[in-house]
Amino acid sequence: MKKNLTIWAILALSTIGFIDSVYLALKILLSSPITCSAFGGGCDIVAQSKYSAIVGVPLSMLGVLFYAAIIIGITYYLQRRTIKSLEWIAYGLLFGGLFSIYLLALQAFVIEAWCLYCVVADAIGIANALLAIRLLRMK
Amino acid sequence: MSNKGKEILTWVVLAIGLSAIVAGIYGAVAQPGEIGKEAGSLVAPVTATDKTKGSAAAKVTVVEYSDFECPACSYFYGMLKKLEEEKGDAVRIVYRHFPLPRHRYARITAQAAEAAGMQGKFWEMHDMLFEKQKEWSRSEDIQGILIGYASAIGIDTALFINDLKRADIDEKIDRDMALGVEQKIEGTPTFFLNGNMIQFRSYEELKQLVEAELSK
Repeated sequence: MKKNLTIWAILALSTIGFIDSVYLALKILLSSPITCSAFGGGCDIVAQSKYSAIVGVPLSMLGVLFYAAIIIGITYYLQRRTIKSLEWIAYGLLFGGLFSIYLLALQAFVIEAWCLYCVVADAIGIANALLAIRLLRMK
Repeated sequence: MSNKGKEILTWVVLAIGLSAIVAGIYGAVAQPGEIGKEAGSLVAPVTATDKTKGSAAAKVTVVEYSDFECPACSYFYGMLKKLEEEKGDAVRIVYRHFPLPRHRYARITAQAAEAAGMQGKFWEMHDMLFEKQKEWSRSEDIQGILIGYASAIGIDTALFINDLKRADIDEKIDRDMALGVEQKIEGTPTFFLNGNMIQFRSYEELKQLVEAELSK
């Protein structure tokens, strides 16, 4: 019972993460370049920083793929119920969580600006990782 | 329904669901440029102290609140330049400073443009700054670079260096910023076409907006 709840929680969070990443990715892709905000809020600063992409791929795009993969992975698990698939998901989420912490640290200490949408995605990444740890301890 | 059937249905629903999310957000984000009547009309009309280019009798005036270090401003600069080339005297362009605190060289480049303006070459410096933005924004010797630009546009560099520190230039920039604050602009660049705020993403969109005003 607890296991199912945890899995549905991960699915719900990942769906929000997916929506958030899609929004951010499309906003960045479609409006170019992003105007410089007059207020502290730094989505433009973060998006224009050199940390915003890996090998040319915007991080938001990677976020979209990551959360889509989690959603697909969980859907697969819910059908087949193999331990292996659950493990894959859990470790994937752990990695995602670590990466999210890294991205939050970048915003806080290196870029020194926060982007709300990135923070949301990162928070979900960390929450998911915690749920994944819970899952792993359950077996 | 068979198990296999349910499985396939689940995947189909998932695929449709994810695609729908993407399509929905795309529709919401991809908004074409439009005149924002509610967004604001220009509170401060163009005066003699404004930096303008083009005829005062022009039917169309574009006012821009801008920051030389803002990448978006540099991007839109290209469009304004093209507008200028195509429309000539029919369009007047006005530049107002809104250097953002977080851009380390925004202030000094604003001062540089004004200082060049003291020798009649504001727009030449303005163009230079936007065209070379990537270079100077990463430099650690901004003074040296600005002096180089001053020399390149043909003004007296000693005078330029002096003028950089002028109090009245500082005041002018502060005044522009105050106007921007009063205008409640949310970022740079912010454009006003004949007093109404506009947003556009391409030169074609800008041209359309301008031609609509010209035909009135």
